[in-house]
Amino acid sequence: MPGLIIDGKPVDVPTGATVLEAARKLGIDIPTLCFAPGFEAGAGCMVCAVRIDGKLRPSCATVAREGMVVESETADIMSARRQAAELILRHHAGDCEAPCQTVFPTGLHIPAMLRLVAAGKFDSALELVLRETPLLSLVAEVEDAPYERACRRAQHDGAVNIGGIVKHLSARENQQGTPSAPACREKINRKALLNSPGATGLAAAYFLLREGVSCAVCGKIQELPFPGDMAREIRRLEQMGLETTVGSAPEPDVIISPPESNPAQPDNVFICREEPNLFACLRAGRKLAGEVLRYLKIDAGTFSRRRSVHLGSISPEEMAVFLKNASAEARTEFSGKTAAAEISREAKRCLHCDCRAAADCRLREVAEKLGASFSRHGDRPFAFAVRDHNPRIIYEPGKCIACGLCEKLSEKNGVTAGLCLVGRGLGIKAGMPLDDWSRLAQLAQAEEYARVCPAGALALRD
Amino acid sequence: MTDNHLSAEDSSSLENLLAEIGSGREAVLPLLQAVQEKYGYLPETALRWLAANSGLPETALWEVATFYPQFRHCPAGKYEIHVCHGTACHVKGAPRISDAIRRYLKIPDGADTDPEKIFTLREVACLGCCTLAPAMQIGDLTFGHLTPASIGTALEDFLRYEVERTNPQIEPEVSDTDAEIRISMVSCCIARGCGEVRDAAEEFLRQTGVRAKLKEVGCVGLCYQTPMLEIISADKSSHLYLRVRPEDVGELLLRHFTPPGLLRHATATLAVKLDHLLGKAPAEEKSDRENAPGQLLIALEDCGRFAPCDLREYQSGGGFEALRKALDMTHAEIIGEIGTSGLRGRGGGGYPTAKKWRQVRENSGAEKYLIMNGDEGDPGAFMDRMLMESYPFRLIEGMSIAALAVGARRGILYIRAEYPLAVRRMREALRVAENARLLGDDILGSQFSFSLEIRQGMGSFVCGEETALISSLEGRRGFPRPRPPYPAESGFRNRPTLVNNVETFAVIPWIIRHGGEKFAAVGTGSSSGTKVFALAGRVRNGGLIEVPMGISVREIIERFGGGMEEGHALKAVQIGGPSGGCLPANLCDTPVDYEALAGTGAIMGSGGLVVLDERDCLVDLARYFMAFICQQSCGRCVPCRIGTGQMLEILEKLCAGTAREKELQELEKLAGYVKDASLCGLGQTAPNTVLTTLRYFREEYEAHLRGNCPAGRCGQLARYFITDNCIGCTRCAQICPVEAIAFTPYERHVIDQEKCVRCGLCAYACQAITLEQICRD
Repeated sequence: MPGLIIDGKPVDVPTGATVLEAARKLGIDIPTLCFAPGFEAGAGCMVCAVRIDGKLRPSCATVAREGMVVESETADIMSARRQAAELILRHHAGDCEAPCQTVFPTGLHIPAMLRLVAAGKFDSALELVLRETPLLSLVAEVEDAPYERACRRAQHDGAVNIGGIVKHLSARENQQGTPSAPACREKINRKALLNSPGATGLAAAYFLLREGVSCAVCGKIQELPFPGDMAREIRRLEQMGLETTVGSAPEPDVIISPPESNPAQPDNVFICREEPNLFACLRAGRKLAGEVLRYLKIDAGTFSRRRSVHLGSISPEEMAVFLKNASAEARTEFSGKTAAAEISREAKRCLHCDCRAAADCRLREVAEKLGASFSRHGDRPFAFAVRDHNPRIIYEPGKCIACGLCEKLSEKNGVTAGLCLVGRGLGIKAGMPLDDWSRLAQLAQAEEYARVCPAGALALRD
Repeated sequence: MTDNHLSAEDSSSLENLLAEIGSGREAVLPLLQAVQEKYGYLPETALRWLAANSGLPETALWEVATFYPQFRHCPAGKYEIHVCHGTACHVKGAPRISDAIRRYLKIPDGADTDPEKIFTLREVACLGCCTLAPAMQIGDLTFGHLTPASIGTALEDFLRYEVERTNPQIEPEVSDTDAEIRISMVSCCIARGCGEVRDAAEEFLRQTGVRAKLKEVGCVGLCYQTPMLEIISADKSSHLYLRVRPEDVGELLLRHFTPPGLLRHATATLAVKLDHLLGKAPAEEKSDRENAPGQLLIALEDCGRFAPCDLREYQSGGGFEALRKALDMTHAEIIGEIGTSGLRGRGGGGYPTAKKWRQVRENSGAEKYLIMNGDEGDPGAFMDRMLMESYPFRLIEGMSIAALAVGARRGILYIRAEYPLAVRRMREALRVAENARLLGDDILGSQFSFSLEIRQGMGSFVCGEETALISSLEGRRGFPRPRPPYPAESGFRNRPTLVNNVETFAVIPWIIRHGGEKFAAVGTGSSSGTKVFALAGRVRNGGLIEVPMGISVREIIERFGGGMEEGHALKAVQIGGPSGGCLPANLCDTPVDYEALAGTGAIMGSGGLVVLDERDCLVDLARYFMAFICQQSCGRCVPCRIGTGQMLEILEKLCAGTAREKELQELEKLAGYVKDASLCGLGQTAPNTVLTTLRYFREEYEAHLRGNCPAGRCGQLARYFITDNCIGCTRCAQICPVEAIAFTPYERHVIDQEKCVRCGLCAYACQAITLEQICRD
């Protein structure tokens, strides 16, 4: 039972246990990427680095010894871990979020919406849109749908008609009569008062209501300079629980106010700026809601916008990779009478730039936690590529971080011709023996491979 | 062999390989090496056959086949050209040589073989012929002092040589006389023409019937003086001749031997021929070795006296006496003696040898292993190759003593694939030693049993790191492992393992014979004994030297290197290869001592010393080493795999004049991070050259930020320019490989800067062409 000291705290662990295990026993959180329980330690990613005897060591692979003194949470170790994550992200060729999603003011998951539309599931698509989009009737009316400019297909043969599809979904919802509201969390005993809100304020209210904060308007809702069915949107907000009739709420927890009306600002007053552009309002509103939630100490983990790696400009070869799984048809413009089937066909033009593993990617999570910068400067060393031979699993080599877990899984399962690390140095990547990718098709245990991959390079098709 | 299946003949020969080598995990590397030996590359069909018949998983074969750079996956040309890109060669223009070969052979971009499939071009880390820089090797021929203009001639010479080759390998008869003709025959001397001198001597003996033993001896260390001929006459007097040409050999030998009467006719003919040359043959000289009394020979003891694989000779000089002595000592006494000597590992790290031995000794376990690390891959170092080529028995003796001390019964010599002669000589010496019962069971009538085997690397520098070396021996890719556990606790096959460098083993017999105190008396307090250095670069006399620790770097240059090249001043010394660093001229009085060198930010490393002058750009040198490291990084840990890649990117921008101040700061930050966070010694020392050059030559980096390379080395920051001296002779236009100079006789020529690839060929052809800085200042 070696006893060691981590960040000044003593701990005893069984012989053979690693420093990582010892730290976890103490409740010290050390991030890991290339390490997975049940497999030999990777000692590669170095995001689990700790300092022992003045040297940075991978805690996952360092066996605890009697009398060891370990530093884990110092600023310089955190910076080394962050540096490791940044280096990995730099070589991670893919987008966490599709460019359209990143550009969309409230982060609507457009590719997911398009997949639903393509499958004819319009109601589910609408539900998804409403969950992230306040003032939908107004959004649908915005000319030229600016987020389409981010669509990667715009570089090729015209962006997917996302604006048309959003408009169609909005019109569909219109036909239903009463507006539908997104699912809201159960009300908690917190109240926000909105002083004469405009689009920004209403957008903030939309998200606060969604997260279970009660909202009331005092004063008059501003006249918005944007086209669209404003009355319908107010009805929708009311359905979500917005009180518009009360003059002033008794003892609100927070007050959301336009800049000029509150010269002296107590802590709980949040300034709400109305912007000349609807999308800027939505963006500001969402941000404001986030600040309020943080102030109210409401756990809204799913709320904060996540960071994303971006592929940036792509080569014609990479474009060809993206086009492989999309419909080859040209962009269609819609009219009021366009049939649903045609709208689904247009949705099939989506290149699915988003990452399948975006929601449960360990790399993204660890990098965010370490506060790593996701921006890439300089040239991208690896191309975006897809190996889609297997009916269930997709492999994107550009995203591989060479952790070796898939190789270890092959070894563990006795798969003699499974995935393994191929090459050396900068070029080392998971690959197939003899470069025989056709055999990826027969690869069993697809779920296991997808689960073990920490960077979304291996992911289930759907 | 067809593309799809193996012929019966092929599969039966593969079966033989399998039977001979075995099919366990450890056999992966030897099996693949054998397949490559047979086909020149790794054919897919052969790999599939191996996977199906050896029981080895395809993943195991493939991970190894793609990790080691020497494995080829497509057929090569008939001959392989290995262009050395070692430090000395780089400094003297190796990239231009590679470019010139590509152009001459019309090798397409991205390919490595010419369209006729005659030559395959490979850039290798170091041929260990630094004194011939820039050098290339084709087959067993080495060409030195190349220029882009001489490539065509060299390749034509090679092809002619291949046609004429008649395989004149006749073992010289051992004669019953004391008379000897000694010619050093190690890889670099052979490249300087020692082979031709040997052939001439052999021809002389055959024609004249003179009775003398023709002896190929190991390295003499005086590379710049080879080919060197030493004649020991029947009265045992020694006569030394330097820089001998094959045509001089007859005359020189006639000075000391009288041909027997029977062959007077032949001699007469010979003498007539020699008349023309009389007076041109070199005069007898005293060896520089004697002129340079500072050189104390321990590792290079008996330098140039013995035929490397002649056991009798080795024993006549006291060989295996140390082992005999050690057999009468207890292991504690042996380790104690090594401890007294103060010997520290010569591989670079300088870990006390006795301490390591004691750790292995104290670790329980019936099975222990001993490994000689002969994977010398530092560009710019070749002392280990020379030791293995010249003193194979001494290494066997040193290893045996170590095995006795730590209690190992089996040892492995891990030798770099690029050293075929070292492998051949070691293999021959092992065979001789086994026959003489100096290896095997009950050595020298004792209870001590020890066996040795040879394994070859496959061009992976990182395998010089002890844990990566062990991974490689175990049939895996050369990934280093986190330490602890150290190999002394759990190494090869998870057993206690002693890994020592070649030079460390080479000095062991001397220490045991003379006692540790005598060794400790040499050198400084913390760094005792001597160190072998490979001196190369801008010095007059490059070569292998053995110097006492504590001597200053400047003294090495002045006393052993003969000073700087004419007309040039010392700027810096790169010491210790890619792991080492750069000492500026004003710090060259630093003594060669582990601690003193570490104080400057450099390290002793394995002993490469490349001398630089004002023509050399230190940013370019840092870029060169970083490119080497990037190629050699195994890819296991992120700091080394990606961090060094990013450092290289910045250095390349600096050399191209496109880097910004912010990136220079980023380079410095990354250097610190890679040094701190890398898993093994390769990554931890990788930033040393960047860090030391930033420390001592920061202004040079800053000049590059302004788009100016003070040394004029960075091609993209300089251009060739035709001066007013041009008379319009068109030589430059004729030689230009990219038609950047128009063919305009009698008019002043002009270089089209857009087309110019800055190969420098025109500057070689004509004095009127000079290199000019592009300066944005």
